[in-house]
Amino acid sequence: MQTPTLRLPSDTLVLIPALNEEEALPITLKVLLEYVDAHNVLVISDGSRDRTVQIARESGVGVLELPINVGVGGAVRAGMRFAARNNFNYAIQFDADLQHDPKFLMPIRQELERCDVVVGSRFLRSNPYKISPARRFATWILSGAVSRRVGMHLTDVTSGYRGAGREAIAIFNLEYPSQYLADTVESLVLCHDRGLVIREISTPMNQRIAGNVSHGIWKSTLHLFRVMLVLVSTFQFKLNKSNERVGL
Amino acid sequence: MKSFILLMILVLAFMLGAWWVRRRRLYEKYVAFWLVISLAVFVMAIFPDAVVGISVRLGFNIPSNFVFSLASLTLLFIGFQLSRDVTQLRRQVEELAIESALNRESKESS
Repeated sequence: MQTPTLRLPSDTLVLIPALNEEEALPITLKVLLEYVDAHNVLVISDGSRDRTVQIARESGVGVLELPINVGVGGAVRAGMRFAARNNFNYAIQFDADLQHDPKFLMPIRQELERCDVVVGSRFLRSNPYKISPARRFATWILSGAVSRRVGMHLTDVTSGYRGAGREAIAIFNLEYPSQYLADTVESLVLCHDRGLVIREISTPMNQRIAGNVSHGIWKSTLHLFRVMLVLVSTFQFKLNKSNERVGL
Repeated sequence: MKSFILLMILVLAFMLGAWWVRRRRLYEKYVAFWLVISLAVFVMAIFPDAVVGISVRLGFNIPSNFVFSLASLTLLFIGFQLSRDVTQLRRQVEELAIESALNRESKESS
């Protein structure tokens, strides 16, 4: 186990996509900055209309201010592009709500020296955080399908806690998928199809911090429906051929 | 007489289309689209017997059903085309937003 005082090396960028997170962000940044230097953190405001940008600036971390809302996937793409252009070797996605425990940043960073993409799994060890049965079912289906597709056992394909090495950044900064939920799943399939090596490490969620897990029946149904959609849309086609570059 | 009125409508549609292109309200691509459709409607109006013949040969009991199916298929195609275009536009907007944010950041940090 790493000692928490060990700071993340300066070749690593922590990406925090944030949409109207003025309430959670101060705490998240405060905790995060115990593990990382401020210039190794980039908050990507996804068209926030509250004080998100201001709060991030005040804490001294880097800020990307997207003028409009482009979705989590788009925000991650922006962050990855920043990492690519500023020559970072590694980029780690982190949640603005502090759903991810920063003590796993270092293990993810170290694992990245042995592979291209590291997924922080909530379910890998026997410390599963509580989620609604419908969501659990959906996650199980997706993980099963993706595992089969990429030929390795993955337990948490929708986890947003993940790290990318240079090669992955080179792909993600241009092609990280925009659609919600599809982004996490599709990006894994994309990496696999491009021959990148994916690994999973256990990053149990901090139950104390992770908030309300109850979901209404409609939300769960919608979630399941989305999962189905993602399954058909992602798995029908091999994502091998590079998406046509967007003509600007 | 009937076809004369239709011809008038077609000419009017063509002029409207040309005007929209000039005023940049519609791209040529879309104007061409609608012109082709109106032309097809026009041809079908002049030669209704041909339409009836085709629909009978295709096995439609009522020729108007053939026309309706044709119309709905065309609309389906247009709808699909437009959602494809919207998707591409969204992607371009996303890219612009990302590049704009990156530019702004590098300006501020330098």
